[in-house]
Amino acid sequence: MPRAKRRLPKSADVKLITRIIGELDSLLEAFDDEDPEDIEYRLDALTTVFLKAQLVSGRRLGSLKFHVVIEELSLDVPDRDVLAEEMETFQDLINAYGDEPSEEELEEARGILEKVVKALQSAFQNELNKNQLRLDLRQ
Amino acid sequence: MSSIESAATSDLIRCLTTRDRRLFDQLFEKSVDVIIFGSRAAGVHSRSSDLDILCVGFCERKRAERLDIVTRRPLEVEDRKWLGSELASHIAAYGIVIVGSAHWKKAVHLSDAAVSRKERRVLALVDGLWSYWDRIHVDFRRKYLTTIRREVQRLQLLREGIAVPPSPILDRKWDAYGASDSWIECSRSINTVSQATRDHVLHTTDLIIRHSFTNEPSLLIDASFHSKP
Repeated sequence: MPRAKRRLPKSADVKLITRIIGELDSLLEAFDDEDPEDIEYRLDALTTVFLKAQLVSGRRLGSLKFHVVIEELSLDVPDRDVLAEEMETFQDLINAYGDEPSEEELEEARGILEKVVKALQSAFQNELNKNQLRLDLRQ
Repeated sequence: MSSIESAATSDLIRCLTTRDRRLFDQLFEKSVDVIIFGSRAAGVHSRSSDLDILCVGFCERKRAERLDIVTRRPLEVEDRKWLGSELASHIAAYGIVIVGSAHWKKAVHLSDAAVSRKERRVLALVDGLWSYWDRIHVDFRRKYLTTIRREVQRLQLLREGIAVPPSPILDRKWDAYGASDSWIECSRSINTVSQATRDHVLHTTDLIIRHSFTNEPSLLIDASFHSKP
């Protein structure tokens, strides 16, 4: 059965969506092979923005990893399940059980992050376009 | 495999879903060694714990619902880098071999590089905590304090050449004894390049001890590094 469409809450205005798209951009720019911890913090900072804007619920916050955020995000995201699974792989790749991720693993992680970020940006951009359309119609 | 290990393995495999079990069966065909490690191998898991598996062979990294598979090529596990790693030493000490002989386990010897890597990670986590403190939810602050505390515990063990146990064992030790003098000493003794990082380390060590001792939630709300004298 197809999933019901998810809508952004009303609190998500143009300013917030634009900010989120910018934050997603900086995730990609900041991905640093030498500092995989930074990306963990950035993902949690972005999740905090989502939480404050009520785009995700804080139910499972203790273990709220970014793949769960993708599953829960109140936004229409095409191929959500695939992206969530890939994000889980990304997290495994950069954590590497205390080991240093290999160059191959980091390359794979970068590819996954790029795919996820672009998909989320596109989903938020769609919302932005809809918002703009609504504003235009009102005027 | 001994009868005890065989019984433990059956229990471990029973926790898998049908999809996971299919994947698990496929591993046997493409692997030279298959070893279960982590909390389930050590018998300290919770109901939600994944089953961690090292697969040495030509299998691909895959993820399923309850299975976490780490893959290494046969030549990789003969390499000094792998043999000196934290993960290899953990697996050699706590792993349950279910396929193959894993003869490389005898050559595992924690390296200085594994210790340096852990020190670098602790410093990156500590610096990150104070860079992002105002931008992350209080529950994430708590999560990172726990992560840093565990990483310092791991560093202590690595420096002594001891294999790191699964996290629940570290947590039990902490709950039983709290911050030992050696844990504090270990945390404070990490070499830092800058004074700012040194201050971050001292402040984080202090915060972990206070938070774990008092469990006072306001500590995580108020503790802005920059507001400290």
